[in-house]
Parts: sequence; C-alpha cells; structure tokens
Amino acid sequence: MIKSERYTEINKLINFKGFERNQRTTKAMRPKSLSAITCLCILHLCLYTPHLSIAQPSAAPDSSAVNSMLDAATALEIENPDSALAIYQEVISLSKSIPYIVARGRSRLYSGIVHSDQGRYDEAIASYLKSIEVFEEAGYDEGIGSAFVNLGNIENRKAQYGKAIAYYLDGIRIFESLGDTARLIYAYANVGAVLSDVQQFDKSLIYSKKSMALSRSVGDSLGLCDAMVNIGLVYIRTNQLDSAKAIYDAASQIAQAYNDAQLLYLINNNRSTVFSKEEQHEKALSYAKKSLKYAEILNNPVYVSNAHGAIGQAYYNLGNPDSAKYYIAMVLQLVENDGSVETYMMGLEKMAMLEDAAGNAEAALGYLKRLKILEEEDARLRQKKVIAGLEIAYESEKKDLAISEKNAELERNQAILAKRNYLIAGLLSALVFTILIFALIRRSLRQKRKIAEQDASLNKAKLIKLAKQKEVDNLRAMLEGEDKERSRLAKDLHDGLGGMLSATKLRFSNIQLRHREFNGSADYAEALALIDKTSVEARRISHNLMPGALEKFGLKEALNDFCQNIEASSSIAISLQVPDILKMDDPRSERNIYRIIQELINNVVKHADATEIIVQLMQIDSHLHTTVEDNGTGFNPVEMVDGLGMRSIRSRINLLKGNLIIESNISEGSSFQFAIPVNERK
Amino acid sequence: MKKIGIYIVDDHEMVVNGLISMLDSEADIYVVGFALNAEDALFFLKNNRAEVILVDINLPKMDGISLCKEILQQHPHTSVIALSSFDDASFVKQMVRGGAKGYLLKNTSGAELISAIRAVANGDEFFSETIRKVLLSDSFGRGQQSFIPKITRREKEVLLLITEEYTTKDIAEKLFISTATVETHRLHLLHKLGAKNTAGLVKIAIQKGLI
Repeated sequence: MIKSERYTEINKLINFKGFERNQRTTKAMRPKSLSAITCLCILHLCLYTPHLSIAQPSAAPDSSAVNSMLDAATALEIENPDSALAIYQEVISLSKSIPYIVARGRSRLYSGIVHSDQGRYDEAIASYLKSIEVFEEAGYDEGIGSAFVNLGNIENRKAQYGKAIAYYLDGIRIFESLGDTARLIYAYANVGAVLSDVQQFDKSLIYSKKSMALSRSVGDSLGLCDAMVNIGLVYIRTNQLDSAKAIYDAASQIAQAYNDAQLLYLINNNRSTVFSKEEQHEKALSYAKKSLKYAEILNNPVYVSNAHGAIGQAYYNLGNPDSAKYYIAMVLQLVENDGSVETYMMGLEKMAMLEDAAGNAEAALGYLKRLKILEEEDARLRQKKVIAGLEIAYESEKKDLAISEKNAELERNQAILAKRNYLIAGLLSALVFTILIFALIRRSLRQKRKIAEQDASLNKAKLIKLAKQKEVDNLRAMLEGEDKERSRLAKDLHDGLGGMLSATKLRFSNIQLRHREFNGSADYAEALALIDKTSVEARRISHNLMPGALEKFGLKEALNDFCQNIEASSSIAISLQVPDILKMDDPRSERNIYRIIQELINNVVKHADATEIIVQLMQIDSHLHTTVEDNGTGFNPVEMVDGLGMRSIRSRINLLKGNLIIESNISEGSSFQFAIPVNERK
Repeated sequence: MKKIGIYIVDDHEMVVNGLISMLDSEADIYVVGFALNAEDALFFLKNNRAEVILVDINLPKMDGISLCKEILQQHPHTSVIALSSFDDASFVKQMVRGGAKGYLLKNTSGAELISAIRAVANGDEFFSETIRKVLLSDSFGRGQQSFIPKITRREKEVLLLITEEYTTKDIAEKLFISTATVETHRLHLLHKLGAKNTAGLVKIAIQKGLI
C-alpha cells in the first residue's frame, strides 16, 4: 500500500550541486576573497577575472577608486545585500562619467548575483543581460562568458533546463576559445549536473569527465573531487553501484586530505544511498552518521535534514522504529521551512509507515495525505525534467556535433602552434613537420568528413528504418483487415448462402420423390443441376476467401486441401512437403504463408503451362524456408512486371520479414523461394 | 420390420426441416428428433435412442468433429453420418478418424441420403461419390509424403556444380543468380541430405546416386 523506498539524496544533490559548492565557498572564503580571489565560486565565477583586471596596467588611475568600491560591495553582499546593490548602482553611474566600461559591466554582473541570491530571478536576468551588453561594448569576453554561466544558473534554478544548458554551452564556448581552464572546470561541472538532472546521463558523464580531466591537468583537487561527486551521482542513478562506490572511495581520500566538510558531507551521504540501495543498512547507517557530522560542521539546514533523513531511513530498514522515528521527526521539523521536497516526502512516507505499524491508523493517514499533495507536485516537476531531457537530447545532437568540431579545430590550432617551435629550430625539420601536419590535418579532415558522412548515412538509415516500420505497420493493418473481411465473407457464404442452397436442394429432392411426374422433365433436372453447381461455386468462393481447414486444422492440412483441389481441377501434379511439427507462433503468420503459396500456385496454374509443381516447407534452424518450383514455360525475371497478385505476395513476405528469391529462365520453369524467421525448434 | 431412428444435428433450421420432410415419406425410417447445436444433442441422447445420427460439421461452439467423437464414446452402438458442405480432404479425414461411418455433402440427393442411412444402419460405411474421390486421391497423393523433402530440379543443378568443384561465385555466374541464392540452395541441400558441410554433401550425393 505504501511505496517501499525513496532515495532522497540523489535528486537533492543533483538539483543543487552547482550552488552548494557556491555556498561553501562564499561562506568560507569570502573574507579572504579580497586578496585570494582564486577561491571564488561557480556562481560567482564571473568575479574571478574581473577582479584580476585591477592589476592591469591599462586601468586608469581613477579606476583604483572604482575597484575599491567594488571590493567593498562584494564583501557586503552576504551580510548586507541592499547596501552592496546601492554601491554597485553608484559605480554604474560613476563609471559612465569616467570611461571605465569594464567596471560598469562588473557592477551589473555583481548586482545580478545579489538579486539571484535574494531569489529575484527576473531582476538578476535583466542585470546579467545588461552586463553582457556592456562587456560586448568593451570587448571583454571573460565577462560575457561569466554572465552566460550565471544566466545558466538562474535558468537552472527556475527549472528551465533547456535554456540553462544553452547558456552554459555559450559560456563554455567563450571560455574554450579563451583557453580559460579554471572557469571551464566549473562550467563543465555545471552542465554535467544539469544534464544528469534531466536524465541525459551519457552526456552528463562526458562533461563531468571533461571537468575531471581539466581539474587533474591543472592540479585543482577540489574541482576534481566535485566532478567525481557528480559522476558518482550519475552512477547511482544508472544503478552502477560498484562504480559509484569506487569513485566515492577515491573522492573521499582527496576530500579528507583537504578536510573539505562540504565534499565530505556529499560523499558520505551518497555512499549511504549506495549501501541503502544494496540493502547493506548497517553501512548505510554509518555513512549517514558521518554525513551528519559534516552537515553540522557546515551548519547547513538542508544538509542537516538530509542527513537525519538518511539515518532515519537506515534505522527504519534495520527494524529500529524508535530511532527511526526520532530522526525522521527531526527531518520533518527541520525541513518544514527549507523546502528539500524529496527528504520531506521520504520523511512523511516513513512516518506514515511507522505510525501504521504502531497501530495509529489516523496519524498514518494524516502523513499520507500530506505526502500525496507533495507527490503530485513532485511528479509534475519530474515530468518537466524528463521532457526537458528529451528536448535537450534532440537539440544537442546538432550542438554536440558543432562543439566537437570546435574542439577538434582548437586542438588542431594548438597542434600547429606547438609545431611552430620546431620551425624555428630548424628549417629542414620544420618542412618535414609542416608536411606532416598538413598530411595529418588533411587526414583528420578526411576522417572527419567520413565520420560525418557515416553519421549522416546512419541518421538516414534510421529514418528509413522508421519509415519502413511505419510502412510495415500500415501493411499489417491493411492485410489483417483484408483477411478479417475475407474470413467474414467466407463464413457468410458458407453458412448463410450454403445453408439456404442445401435446404433448397433438399426440398427439390422431396418434390422428385413425391411427384413422379417431374421425373422426366428436362427443365426440372437442369434446375437441380444448377442448384448443385451454385452450391459448388459458393463453396469454391468461400474456400478461396478463407479455407475453413486453415483455422481448424492448420497450415499443413489447408495446403493439402488446396493442392488437392488444384490437382482435381487441372492437369498439374503437385508434390507438397510440409513437416508435421510445423507450428507457427502466430495464426496470422500461417494465414500469410498460406496466401503466399496459394497466390504463387495460382500464378503457375494461370500462366506457366506447367505439369508439375513442387511445394516444400522446411524448418532449418530459426527459419522456415519455402520453395515453390514448377516445370512450366518460365520467364525472364528481369522483365517481370508485378501484377496485383505478385504485389500482395511481396507485401506478405515483407511483413513476415522474409525476402523473395525468384529464379527462372525461358522454357526452364521457375522457382520461388522465401525464408522467414520463426521460433527455433527445441 | 424394425424402423431406423434418426436424429439430426444442424444449426440451420431450414436444412433440418428439409431433411425431416424428406425422411418422413420413408416407411422404414423415422426422425426421433433434432438439435441446432452439439450440447442440446448430447443432452437429448442421454435419455433417447437413435440408430443413426446426421451431424453437420459446422456447428456453433462444439463442432461436428468433436460431437461425433463424444456421441460414439457415450453411445458406441449408434452410427454417425457427417452431413457437410465441406468437401476438403482434411474435414473428411477428421470425421472418419472421429468414427463417422458415412460422409455426405449437403447437396446430396434424397435417394443418396436414404441409401446412406440404410447402409450405415446395416453396419456398412457409406461415402458419396465425390467424397470417395477425395479420400482416394488423398491417400495416393500427398497423404503418403516421404519424410525428407525431395530435391528440386534447381537444387539438383546446384548440387551437380558443387560436386564439380565450382565455387559459389562460379555457380552464381553460371546460373545467372546471386551468390546469396546459391547459398540458400546449398543450405537446403545440406538440410535435405543431412550433411554437415560441402564435403559431406558430395559424399552423400554420390552414395544416393543423385549425381
């Protein structure tokens, strides 16, 4: 009656991953950030390079005053956001009079961050867009890229995942062209987190791994650890629990070395989830307790509540209702204001089950009712994510291609640059290298083109396959409709008309028995003969439409009847060989095979002037092979024009996933073969 | 003279009435009753006796073939004549296997029907002319099919070329067919001759005098 398990942490973490790291750095690092700018967060990514510009000699003397104002405002952001905003506003107007465009852009950008932190998303978006305008005027790409990433963060918070990813990718494009590794690490991580959130796990892994590789190359251990946590989440969501454990073990070592409480909280909480999924509840409990320790150090209410939830869940699973109740009650209390929906839902559900088990049906019902309301809300959000994921998957096909091309270009450019040093070192070797590079570029271009062509043809093949499937579906519907109609007609003819004709014949027979005077009448005899002919004709038509034996006794008997009828009405000898055990999984297949053979034989009777026909059905491994061969006049297959019957044959074989082979030569008879997949015989 | 009791099972009332009116005029035959379906017939026969039962094959729910078996199991001394508009070997064979002593088509003449009833009541069998032909051609024709499908003319051509060590490609070119078609023929030949590979194929073909 109540769903068994919920894994609260996963959603929660993916949802807020990008921002949680932000929170950590803003809280811990902000005081030092004036001097140690490198510690700035993802959301405040944008702060990073603009601050560096202070040191730029190009800065006007007046600009130092502006910079001090900006720094002061940044320091005020958390404690007194309104004052910070006021200062930024002042800088904006000030920097108009002293032409210091970058400062104006920065003020816009930072205002956006303050708005965003305060939850005023529309104002934040307006500020960011304004900042992009200003940065464009100044030709300051770093600023534009930062604004894009921040816009991505806002859209992500607004659950506009498609837009978020588009903005992130815009930012990434700029940072990639600037070769800005430090910011790329976080931009990649953010895209990875959103993609994971909308269940595009393959793509998420690509970006998270990019972030990981970059972090490693520049020795950014915490960036590396972030990426690992994200990758671990993808593994959890795709149920690759061993991989998740491995990556968290590795991440844990790094996080411990740096004693990073937030990462340690995330790692241990997710480990708890992994073990909970594996039903190792003791271990799940121990990691959940560790995560609580770090959550308390961080004093983050969402984390604390999540950790309580994980502990409560573990106690619940271990069959310790009292402890479970204690922790889950804490969750409900803690979460009420902090909106971690998943944890809250888990808590409500577990409480309902605990109360139910304790016999407090009414209390349980109360929890369930609250749960139901939240569940509907949650389902809506989930659906939105799935749809966003599908849209992204579709949209990013093209974008991925563009991005990978850009990357390849960049790599090539870098390769050329690197090789240039050799050019200086020696003309000869340079020549060789240049030739080599060009050869390489040409080769890689050729390969690229080839791959693109293959991709295109693959896509085309996919489309064709889809179209074909549709065609097959239509065909199946058509043929089945036709068969049904034939069946109905055959029954009407046989039962209705046939029955009446039989009764008529009987009555006429009675007249003959009782009124001897009719006996000599030629008209009377002719009338009787006509009734006979009519019933034979009705039977023949009915039989052709749908032989009763096919439905009643199966393909073999029906084919036997059919061949016998052909022999009786023509001078053709038919050799029919059907294995006794032949049995189709689907009666519709039998009907189709019957119709194909019927049509093939009818063709031979009508056109081939043959005296012998061989009909063979053989089951070889997983295929049913059918051959219809005659010794008639033959024809040139190349000049053959499909009539209605032949088209119907091809359609049915097509439907059965077979392929028709026609062999014939003038005056050498003809042979028709097709093989269709069937269930392998035991 | 002992009269022959007839019971009729046919889902067409028109046909039943026609039969009754036809049989009424015969002195040695009387109709004990009729049913429009198999279930009613079995119920009636539990308490009533009939020497000959005329059974239509095409009945709603339980068909005439099953009914025939059921009647004969419960009343071994009765005789069943199938009265059907099916003249296919499959239906005739099934009825005969089910124990029917006679098989008539529904466009039978009154004289033939009466002859059949008398013959069957006398312990003989009666099949109309058409049905006899069907049974005969079935037992002579495909009824006696061999277990292994025979090798077709086209397959023989391919077999001959294989034994002459032609490659698949050569055979395809010689016979103006695709290599895939040659492979299909080879597969059929392996299956029919019970060979595992081409070498086995050639060996068995020689043993059996096929080439």
